Amino acid sequence: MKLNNKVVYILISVFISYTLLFSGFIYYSISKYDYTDFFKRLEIRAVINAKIYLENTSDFDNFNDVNLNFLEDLPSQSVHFIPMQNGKSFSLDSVSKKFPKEFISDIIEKGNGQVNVDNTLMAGIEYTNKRNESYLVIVTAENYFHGHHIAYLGNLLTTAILYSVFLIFLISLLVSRTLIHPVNNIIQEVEKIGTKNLHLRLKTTKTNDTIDQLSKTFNRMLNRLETSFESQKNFISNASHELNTPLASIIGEAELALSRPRDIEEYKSALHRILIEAEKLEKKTSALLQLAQTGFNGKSQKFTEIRIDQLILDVQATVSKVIANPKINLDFSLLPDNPEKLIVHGNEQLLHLAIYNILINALKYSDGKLVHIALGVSLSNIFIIVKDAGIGIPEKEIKYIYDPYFRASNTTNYKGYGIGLPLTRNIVIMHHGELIVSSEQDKGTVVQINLPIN
Amino acid sequence: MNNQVLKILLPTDFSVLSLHAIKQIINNNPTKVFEFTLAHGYHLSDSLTTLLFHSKHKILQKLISEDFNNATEFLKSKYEKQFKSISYELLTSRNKSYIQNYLKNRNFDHIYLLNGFDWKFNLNISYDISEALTNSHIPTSIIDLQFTEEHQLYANNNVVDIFLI
Repeated sequence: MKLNNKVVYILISVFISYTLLFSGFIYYSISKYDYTDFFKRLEIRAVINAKIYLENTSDFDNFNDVNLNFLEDLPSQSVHFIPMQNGKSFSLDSVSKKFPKEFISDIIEKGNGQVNVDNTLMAGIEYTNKRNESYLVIVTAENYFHGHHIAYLGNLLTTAILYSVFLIFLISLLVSRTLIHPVNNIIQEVEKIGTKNLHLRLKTTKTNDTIDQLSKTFNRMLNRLETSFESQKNFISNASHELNTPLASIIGEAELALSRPRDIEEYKSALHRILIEAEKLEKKTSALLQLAQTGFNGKSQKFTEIRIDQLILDVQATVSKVIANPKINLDFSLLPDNPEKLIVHGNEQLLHLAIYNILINALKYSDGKLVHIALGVSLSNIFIIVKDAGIGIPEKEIKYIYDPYFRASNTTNYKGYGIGLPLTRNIVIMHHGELIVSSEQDKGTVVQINLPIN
Repeated sequence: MNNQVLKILLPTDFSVLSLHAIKQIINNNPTKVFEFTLAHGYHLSDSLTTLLFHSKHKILQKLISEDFNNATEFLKSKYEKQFKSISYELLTSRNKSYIQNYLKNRNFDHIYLLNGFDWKFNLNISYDISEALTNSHIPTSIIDLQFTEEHQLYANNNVVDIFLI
């Protein structure tokens, strides 16, 4: 079923159910009230007639005036006076042909009674006049008002329900179209977006309603998809370039060496250059292999308890072996009193590699400026912060920094493969941590590694 | 160690740099234990709807960044024995009797005001409460909190600001 129709059906069902229930309640209440009211009117007439005909008082004229001037004749109205034998007892059989027995019994027992016989309503009272004579005064009449007013109400409600069904149908149609129309628009717009035009975005408004939020969510998803596509494209182009360069050198060297007969020294020299290029190729492929391995779920890695401050000192020592006199400032000023807060559960080699990569990058791109490493501990995480005042990363390129082989446009004068950061991120994710890089070109970079405390 | 807990009132703009005041207070009083209350001047709206749904908790949630919370946690971990607790207050008026009543009810032992600190307030909603706190009956000290131009310039309300690196 179409969503459009579904909305219409649901709205119509709900409105009709509500209207029927509401109309039914009104019809029942009015009908019941009408009977109660009519019985009261009959009872009042019974009292007035009793005063007129059973009392011999000076008030006779007054009551008669009321009866004649203010009380209109009810359809088929008749008044019956039945004297009670001996003032107390009463033979039911004598009147049972005219009135139901239960009705008479009710009047005798309770002082008044009401009954409806074939739409003729009867109300009666027991009346004792001043001469101490008791009578049953019964007034009967047809309930004309019920017959006409309630029938009119019934017709009115039925007509109103029919009109409202029609109206509800139109409103439902309008509502459903108003609601569904923007969704249909989104569907049509999304249909237009494919792999070749991933840059297209859905139109958004400033209303911030659900439909607008849906469009914005789609747009954010498209942003991620586009970045992912770009990353894939970048990886292929970067990887082929990175792997192709040493291969081209190897082939070139080999072809040059074989182009004519040479002496041993020349062959040795050519083979040496080929070896250097082959080693570069090997480093690149093994780095790629390492990256692929860390991309797995990490179950095969051996995890132990590691003290992060000690690990940072180890990394600093390793860096000192690779770079002579590295300018590193270790800020352990906020090291917690409790050393247990410094322990994480992880793979020491991999975490060493991750921090090493970050530190080496910071030193490499800082041109000899001081690089800071700081350590802080929150309730649940250890924060390792590496801050440099180096060349930074151009704002537009920061979204690609985790792409394997990606190198920022301002790094052409620096050696590197573009594997370190994605590798580090994989290692941090493997440890259920978070890697946050914030950078400003020509000002510096802050890398934050958050690792959960053991 | 003197285990008396000192209740300290300190104005704040909820920037990570402002937390250096706590660092300084603890370092200057190594034998004392502190309960910090950070007070933030906040313009309460005149709108009836805003007043009806006024929630200190929600306002603080908007004002306090995750980095600020993390930096506070760093200090708590570092000064585990001296840093007993931290709480936040929104002072919605500079009115003298309002401030005096507030200070009287809270029984603060000491107020610290910052000298030379470059407050970073969103002036549409917040303001510096320091001046209103100056003439109270509570002992008040002024601490110098000045940073190098580089630190001020590059402070990005990031957790890294707590290290001054």
